[in-house]
Amino acid sequence: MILKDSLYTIVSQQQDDSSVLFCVRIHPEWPIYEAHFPRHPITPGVCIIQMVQELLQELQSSDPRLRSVENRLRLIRAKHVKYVSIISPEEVTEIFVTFLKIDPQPDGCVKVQAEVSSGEKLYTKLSAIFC
Amino acid sequence: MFTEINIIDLLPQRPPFVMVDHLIGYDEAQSSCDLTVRSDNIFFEEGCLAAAGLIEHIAQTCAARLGYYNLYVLKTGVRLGFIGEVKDLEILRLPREGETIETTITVMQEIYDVTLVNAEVRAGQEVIATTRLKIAQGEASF
Repeated sequence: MILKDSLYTIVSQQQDDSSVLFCVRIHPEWPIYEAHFPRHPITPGVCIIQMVQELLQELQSSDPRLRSVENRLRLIRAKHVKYVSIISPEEVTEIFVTFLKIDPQPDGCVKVQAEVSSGEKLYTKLSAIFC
Repeated sequence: MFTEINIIDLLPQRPPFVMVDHLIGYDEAQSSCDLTVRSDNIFFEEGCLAAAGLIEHIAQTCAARLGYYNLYVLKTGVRLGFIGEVKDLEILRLPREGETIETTITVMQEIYDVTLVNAEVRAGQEVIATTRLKIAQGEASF
């Protein structure tokens, strides 16, 4: 995994009937923040996508819905990834990644809807297919 | 020649978070950048550039176009940029180590600081990914 334990660590994981909630701690000292951008550290939008992919891969070992998927899931299509607000490591270090829908398809791919938020604030909404 | 421009001069990002090698084409409506996939890229995984790296490469193709416009046409400075939305992304395959990819973005709409583009990524003649991106420009970066 590229970003787990460098950009973020998983603090907790909760599951109810249909959704899975990860609490994730962002590391402001992650060296890439100095490159994106110098004196303006902002979490790159594509790192949110990578983090969602890695958390989904984490679930492959525990979520019964993903038991039949053999390969490591990777993003192949996205209907949309909407960045509603930026994640500044100077302002927020604990965020929530909620998988609202994890829907295996007959072809072995998995339809996913996820949101990244903190309290009332929504950062990112994603609707995508991983295969 | 665009390729003689140091790409870093056009971008607000800094290494190791630079995912374009050269600006290879520029006009107001269409621009292109290339990238050779190397194993030291932070998004390199299992012999390929991961989807996140591919999307960042497309976004930085937009950033290089805006940077060129700001620097050489408006003669102002490079500004920060953010992805507002990734839409209708389709990845046919990920680019492999050593492969050079070229991305062409076509500007569909530009309203104030928000640009909508269609993007196509090719490896040689083969199209490997397509998407639409919304890019927002922020404040001056330096």
